[in-house]
This record gives sequence, C-alpha cells and structure tokens, in this order.
Amino acid sequence: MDSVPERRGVTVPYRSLTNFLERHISLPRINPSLYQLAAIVASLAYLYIDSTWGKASLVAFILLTDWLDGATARRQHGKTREGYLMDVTIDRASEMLIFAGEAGTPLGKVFFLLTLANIGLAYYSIRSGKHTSLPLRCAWLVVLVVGAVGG
Amino acid sequence: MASTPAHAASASIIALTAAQVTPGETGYIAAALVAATILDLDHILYVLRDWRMYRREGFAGNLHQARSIFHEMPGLLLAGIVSAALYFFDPTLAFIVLVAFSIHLLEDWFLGKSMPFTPLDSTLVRYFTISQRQKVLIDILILLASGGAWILYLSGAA
Repeated sequence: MDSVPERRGVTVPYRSLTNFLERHISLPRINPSLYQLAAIVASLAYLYIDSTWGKASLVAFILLTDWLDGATARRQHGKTREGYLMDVTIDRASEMLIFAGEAGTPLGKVFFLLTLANIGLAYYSIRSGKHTSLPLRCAWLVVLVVGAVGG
Repeated sequence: MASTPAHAASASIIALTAAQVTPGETGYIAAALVAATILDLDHILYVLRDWRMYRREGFAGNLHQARSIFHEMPGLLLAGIVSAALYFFDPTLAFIVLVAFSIHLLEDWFLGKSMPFTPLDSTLVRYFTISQRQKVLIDILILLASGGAWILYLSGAA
C-alpha cells in the first residue's frame, strides 16, 4: 500500500500541460503544505464573500495553490503516498467548505452532494490504485464565471 | 491541553460569523459550540482506556493516538451527511454544524499528525513539522485571537 494511485487516461491532456509548466517554472523551496494552508484559508474566505467575481477569483486561487502544492512536492520529494493523501484530504476539505456556503441554492446542493461522493471516490482511489475524482471546483469556477458574465 | 478550547473557540466563531448569525440567536451559538467541541469527546474514551500509558508518557504529543476515525476523513464525511440532512430543515444550522466541525478537524490536521484515510490506509501524515512547544504557542495565539473575536461578536461589533 505504499504506491501512489495512478491518474486516469482522461486527465492526460491536462497533466501534459501541467507537467510542461512544472518543468519550465521556478518554484520556491517552501513546505508544500503552506499552499494547502493557503487553500483552506481561501476556502474560509469564500464563505464571507458575496461578489460572484470575488468568489471566482478565490476558487481560481485555490486551484492554483492545489497545482503549486503538488508541483512543489514532486520537485522536492518526488511522488509519495503521504503527499498524495495530504493533497486529496485538503482538496476534499476545501470543497466541503466552498459548497457548504453554496448549499442554499439548488445547483449548490447538487455540488454539495457531489462533494460527499468525491470523498467516497477518494477511498475508492486508494483501494483501487487509480485516482478518481470529480473536478468540482473547476466546474464551479465555470459556473461562477458564466454567472458573473451573464450578470 | 490548549487545543480543545482554542480549536472550539475559533471554529465556532468562524462558523457563526460566516453564517451571519446575530448574538441574540442563542440556539445557533449553542449549536456552533457543540459542533466545534464534540470532535474531542473521543479523546476521553481513549485516554481512559490507555490511562496507564498516558500517566507514564504524558499527554503532550501523544493525543493523536487517542483519536477515533471521526478525527479523520470519516469525520468529515459524517459531518457532511448530517449537514445534508439538516439542510432540508434548517440550512443555517446545517451550515454552522458543518463549518464548525470541519474547521476544528482541519486545525487538528494542520497542527498534528493524522491518518486521514483510516481505516483503509494507515499512512501517518504530518503537514508541518512543529515542536510541542510551538504547537502550544500556536494554540494559545488561536485562543487569544478567537477570544478577542468572541468578545467583539458578543458585543455586537463583529
């Protein structure tokens, strides 16, 4: 049980892009958990914000920190099971906070329930050795941007 | 042992202010305090069970062993399920319960050791390498900050 669950083929285009970026940008040598802490602080800040653009900016920031923590960890330690578990744990907690704030709307309720399903998928990923998760925050960012543009 | 009051005070005040609950809504305040504290009740059972070990080795740095699975991802899942049910009756209560519980859980994860996917995976993870002294200092700072926030909140300024 020491291995890291493999990414699914459907994520290859996205992973190719992020791997390319990882090779060509310089990253500060800091504890990757600082990015995870920043993601949680931003998820809490999300609960206090009413502006749709403000919310979209925060979700974009959270997604950026999610990528940066993984990229930093991989550069410093390679892929480790501990790092994978930490990343998945914080991702699920971040989703839970964001969608707790949105569960008052019908669409928010759907995303909140999908967050619960995502925790189940995290267990499935660990058991099966294949990483499976719903990109809920990415999808929510699209919803927010469409909502903001549409007025 | 500053963890429980620090995490409970901070988690509850964040939940209440984010939910925009007024100081007069005492039912919600009580719910926030209960949800932010209930997580640590499992320590009692484990400490009583392993009392001799704790007498011998002390509590400092060992309380992560006195945790049930609810201090890990199953706790977050359970809080989510309970809140999902509560959303049908009282969305504000559901939000407060979930946020207060989750923040306490996150504080424990960030400031200590955890096995997030127990019982399926027993990998021990640690986000920050901090000494027991630093942990106590951080908890005291959290307690002071949240105590101040509570005073402002109850006086109607927050």
